[in-house]
Amino acid sequence: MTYSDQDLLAFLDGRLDEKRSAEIEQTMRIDQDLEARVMDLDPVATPVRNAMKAVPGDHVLLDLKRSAPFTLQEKASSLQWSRLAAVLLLGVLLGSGVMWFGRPAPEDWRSRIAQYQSLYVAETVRLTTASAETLERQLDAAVDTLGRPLERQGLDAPASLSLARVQVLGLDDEPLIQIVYQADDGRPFALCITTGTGAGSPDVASSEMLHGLATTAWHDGSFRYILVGGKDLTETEQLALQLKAFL
Amino acid sequence: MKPKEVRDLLPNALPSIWRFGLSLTGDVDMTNDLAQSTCLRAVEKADQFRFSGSFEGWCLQICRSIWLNELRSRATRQDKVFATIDADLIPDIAPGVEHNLFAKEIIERVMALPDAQRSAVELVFVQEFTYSEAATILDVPIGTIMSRLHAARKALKKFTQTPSFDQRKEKR
Repeated sequence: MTYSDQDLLAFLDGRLDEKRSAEIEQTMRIDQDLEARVMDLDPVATPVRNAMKAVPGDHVLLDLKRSAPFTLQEKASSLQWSRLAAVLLLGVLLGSGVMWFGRPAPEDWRSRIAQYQSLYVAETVRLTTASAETLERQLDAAVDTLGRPLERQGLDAPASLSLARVQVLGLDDEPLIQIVYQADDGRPFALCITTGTGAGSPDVASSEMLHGLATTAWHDGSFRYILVGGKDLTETEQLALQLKAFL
Repeated sequence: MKPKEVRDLLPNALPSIWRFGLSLTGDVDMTNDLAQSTCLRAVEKADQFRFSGSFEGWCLQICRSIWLNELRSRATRQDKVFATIDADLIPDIAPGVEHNLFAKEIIERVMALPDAQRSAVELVFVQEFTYSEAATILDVPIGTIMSRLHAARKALKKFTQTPSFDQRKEKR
């Protein structure tokens, strides 16, 4: 039995009579060429495929790959992944104890966050900046997860940074909130908050360069905070001071 | 197949797994968990993979199986229509389409389909599995796939595009 393209388009469109439609369906089960023709002719498939291929975005995959069971085996296929591979290799060679799957020492939290943040480029933030409504929902989710308020006024305190998005992540078994900013010149920054106490006295900030990024960290006895971004420790110290006043 | 071979193949399969997971759950957070569980299970079951089907198809079968177990554990009916994804979240999951209103509208409409139709659309329209492969992955008769796609086509009819002969030749 042969079918014209018009027959098959009518079948796809539901315009063919019931008997003829049933016949095509039956034939397709045994005739792979006919099945392929029908699929090729489907007028809805191509636009749907073209649109849906944009899902999921790179940042979703980045987050997934970060914790998926194939991470160590992944071939470096982009600049970001090459950098990550280099960082991991360096860690192993130096015997630093920073292992992707292993549980690192508690004080490594700053290094791990800085390492993650080092994958960010200006484009990462620009492409993932949330709308005002989404940002509000992300903040609500962060507050629920963390169990402490996060006032928008406080998060907006540094005038040179624009709030871009909020992500709920995890650090071992603890929640980790990543609040992503973009500086006026495009540089990505992030304020990360997790539970627990760090080394040193509460509210005393300490700064250091980690994975090529400036970091300033502090804790308040209940939560640990770290601001990561740029290469200027004085800058992160000043920005952290502004954020600390409201947090 | 050895676990290492599965781990090597998973990064390329991850977008398909995630998108199929989203078609099942309609929820981004649940999809992230489902994709993670699928990858873990695939590595654990590496020795059960046979080369009769595609690796991605095998992963999607695992994904669906995990999701069904999750539904059973929640004592939720399999055919329940789950919450559809919030349109505002689309720039979050597909930032590239923010300024492409046509693509954004298509994603919104696909995500608003009942979950059974959405899964069929994902497998056949997007991932280009044949009707019979999609039927195997979803463990339903091929006729069910056809009827789900037929219903989905009606809902998506406004996005109809007749492919040219050349496009059709290129695609397969």
